[in-house]
Amino acid sequence: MRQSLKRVALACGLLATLGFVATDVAAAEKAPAIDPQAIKVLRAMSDYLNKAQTFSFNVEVSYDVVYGSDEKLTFLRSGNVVVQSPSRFKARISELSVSKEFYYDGKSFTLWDPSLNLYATTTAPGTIDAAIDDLNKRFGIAVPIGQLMRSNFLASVMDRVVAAGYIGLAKVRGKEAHHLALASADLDWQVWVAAGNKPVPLLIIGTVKNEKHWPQYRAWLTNWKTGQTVFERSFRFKPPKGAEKIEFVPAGSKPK
Amino acid sequence: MFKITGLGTFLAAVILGFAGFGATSIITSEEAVARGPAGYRGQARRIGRRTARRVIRRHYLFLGGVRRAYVTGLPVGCPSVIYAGVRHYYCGSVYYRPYYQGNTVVYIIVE
Repeated sequence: MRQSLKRVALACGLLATLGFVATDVAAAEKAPAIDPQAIKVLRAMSDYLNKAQTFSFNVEVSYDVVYGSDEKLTFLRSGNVVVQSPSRFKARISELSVSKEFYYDGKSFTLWDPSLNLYATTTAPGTIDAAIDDLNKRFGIAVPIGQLMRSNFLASVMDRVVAAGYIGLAKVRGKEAHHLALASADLDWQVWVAAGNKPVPLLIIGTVKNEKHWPQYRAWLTNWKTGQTVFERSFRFKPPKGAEKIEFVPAGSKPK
Repeated sequence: MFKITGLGTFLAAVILGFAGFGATSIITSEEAVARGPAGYRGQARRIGRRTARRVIRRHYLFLGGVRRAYVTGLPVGCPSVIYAGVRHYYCGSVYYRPYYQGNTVVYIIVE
């Protein structure tokens, strides 16, 4: 176990050296920190999602939790996301028997826990981008895979990216994909974008750099659909039988 | 394979903050232990009552400018009552009102 973890760490280290030449001053002078080929792929993906109007995918997530000095566990969750730009989304994320459902219809946002059958609703701004920021600011809500729902994925990440590299072609569950590596101050991430005329992300891996054991977040994105018809009413939450309404606690209410 | 010695730290651990991807906790690590997985839960139980009690350890937040105690999960089988249109749970003599804090349901103790 320890041995294999070390091997993973070593592989990540190698990858970091290959992808993020900017960490090495001498190399940084020779090669640009931002590889235009990587940006080209990201832009194609960003534009494709933006133009799709409606898109949906399933997601399988595994994420690590480090605790104590030498223990790391991986937890799994899965879900489904439907986005209709510029002003609707719904998402369902499940972990164990716990699910959370997110509904946004351009006017209001609802978070529902089906296992507890408790929901809370609030008004929200008129676009997905504004709603994601507003919900996070007001209530500390993290919309799942929210980054991919934004109208311009590329622009929304580039202000934080300090290095970007094109690693090469790879196969993700049998599909050919461009393997990209990006670095920001505290998070390294890799994206595998489908090659061809439907450049959707197939796999995203985030690695926390400044935490011991480099915990990772991995999201496999499958069953992509674009341009399909989704009725407006399906983005509106209708309380099922027995559902009870509660309130959101305003963010910033944690004592120091 | 994993020792359980770190459980206390695990309970206290804040879930990873991959803010950009919204990976931040739809479920807290405390919920993860309190609600399963089954094998892990059994091990947690064997550690004894002190640890079990820590699973429903109190936290604090400000609501309307007032410092309030809350827990992230309730003991199984607490009865409930509707008060002011909202379901409250009572465990012993303590009443709890559920709220969403971020993506997670928490139970604030009614003073």
